[in-house]
This record gives sequence, C-alpha cells and structure tokens, in this order.
Amino acid sequence: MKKLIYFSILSVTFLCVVLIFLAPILLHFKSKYGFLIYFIFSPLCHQIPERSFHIFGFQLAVCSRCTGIYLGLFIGSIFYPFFSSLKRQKLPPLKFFIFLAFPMGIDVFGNILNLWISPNIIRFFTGFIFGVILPFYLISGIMDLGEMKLNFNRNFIKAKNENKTSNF
Amino acid sequence: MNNQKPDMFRPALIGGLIIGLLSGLPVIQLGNCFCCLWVIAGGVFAAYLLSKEAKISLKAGDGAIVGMFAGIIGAIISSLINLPFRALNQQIVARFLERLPEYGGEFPQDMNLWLKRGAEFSLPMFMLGLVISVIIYALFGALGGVIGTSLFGKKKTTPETPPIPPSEPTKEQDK
Repeated sequence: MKKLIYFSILSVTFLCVVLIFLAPILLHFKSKYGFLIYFIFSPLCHQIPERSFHIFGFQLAVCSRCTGIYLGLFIGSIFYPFFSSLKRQKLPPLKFFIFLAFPMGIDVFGNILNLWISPNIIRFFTGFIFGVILPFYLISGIMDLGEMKLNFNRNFIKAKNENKTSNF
Repeated sequence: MNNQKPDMFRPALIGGLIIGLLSGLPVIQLGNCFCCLWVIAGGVFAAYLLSKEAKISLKAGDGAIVGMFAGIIGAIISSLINLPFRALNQQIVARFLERLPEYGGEFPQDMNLWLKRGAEFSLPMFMLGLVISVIIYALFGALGGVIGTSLFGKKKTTPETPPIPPSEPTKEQDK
C-alpha cells in the first residue's frame, strides 16, 4: 500500500515535469494539445513569458520558479526513500522547512517590493530548493492517511465479525 | 482524560471558505500563481484550527485529510465565485492572445478561436475546470495541511502523575 502511494506520487510529479516541457514542444509541432497543457497549469502559475524559460521559441507551461518547484518535487520524491523510511513516516524538522523556504521567500518579497528583479535562473533555483522539501510532507501525509484508512477498515471488519459472533 | 480527536468538518469548512474566497476573487486570486499560495495557506489554517481543538498531538494524516477537504470545498467555492467574473477573465485572455505572437512565433490558424472559445462560458469547460481544480486544490490543500500539522500539531504532553498508592490507615485514623 505504502509503495503504491509512493510510486503514484512519484509518477504524478514526473508527469507534471513531462507536461511542462511537452507544452512548447507540442506547439512547435503545431499541435492544439499544447494549449490544453497551458490551460491545465493556468490556475497554478501566472505564465508570464518574460519570467519563463523557452524551448523552440515557445515558453514552458509554467514560469521559471514553478518549473524549479515541480522539478524539485520530482527530485525530492526520488530521494524520499533514502532520507525517510517508507515504513514509518516522520515529518522533517521545522528548521529544515524554514531553511529551504527562506531563499524563495526572500526572493519573492524582494521582487514584490521592487528591491531587485531576479533573473530566471535565480527564480528557478530558489523554487527548486523549496520544491525539494515538499515531498517529505506530501508523501508522509498521504501515507499516514492511507494507514489511517487501513486501520479504519480493519476495525470495521473486526467490529462486524464481533457482531456476527455475538448474534450466534 | 478525553483523547478523542476533534471534529474535522468545521476546520475543513472554514479553511475551504478562505481558499474559495481568496482564489475566486479577481486580482487577489493571483496569489495562487505563486505555487497555489492561498490553497496551501488555507490547508495550513485548517490544520491550525484542528490542532487548536485537539487535545492530543496530530498525525500527518490528520493534517492531510483536513487540508484535502478544505481544498475540495475551496475549489467548488472558487469556481462558483469565478462565474460572475468571467467577463473580466475574458479580457485577460484577450490581452494574453495579443501578446502571444510576440513570444510564440507562428501559430496554427484556429488557435486564437480555440482559446477565445475557452474563455466563454460553456458547461463542459466549466466542469473540466472544476474537476482539474478539485484535484489540484485537494493535493495542495493536503500539502498545506501536513505543513500545518508540523507547525502547530505537536502538543506538549504533561508527564502523567503516577497513581497514588492506597495509604495504609495510620494509628490516628484508626482512633
């Protein structure tokens, strides 16, 4: 069950990364489906061309920071089993989260307050660093949720069996 | 001692309302462009409310489930709030279309028409958008819920006082 959850999340993050890079490639080959990918990612990203990387003259499906976040999510998901057990979920310490989210937070506020304008590569790397920590929360949370559901099912079946035996 | 976990419905509903309002109103909704900021924030808030009501430490799964439900409720509310602002969104799409050739080079002839059609209201497009939003918001809401659990979910457990052994009756009590 836990392996299934882990590989599902890994697949979803991989699919996201593939779609982000696939959108401009599809547009290059004049396929309409490229726009569908832009549509899917539109609630998640501003998709401003100046703030995005380009392939074949077309922008990626998300901005450079979001590209970093999604790539970080995928890479973090790959490395999850090496740093955290699949059997026993443990959330990373708060200081790690603050430490890894700090560069992106500073960069975002600096840009919002017009203190500086970051180049796309900085946006990408700060997003990537933040994205790497996210699977350690997401995978742990969803695995724990799966475990809770399993326990609920076990208790339900147990209670049902006890009811049956008491009826006899 | 009451070790029961609190009801998740109220925190999920309040978290969902926050997500829905912030993600549905024009201009403010742009915060979601930053990695679903409002959705994650709503999930964190739902987990915070849950932890306030809980008497014991919350598990990651508790945060995930409350955040997930907050995300689902938020997706439905934001989609409904978005409906009256469709005309405004259409203008944004029109501006996007004007700028596309500057960055995108040549497009197939019917692309503009296809995009314009997407900006107009149609039930299948609305349902597709709703389904996509529900999936994405549930995922990011769960993420926010788990982060919220790690931030607020731990309770300081007071060491349990050992049970007082029954004292033997003293001589004075015997009297």
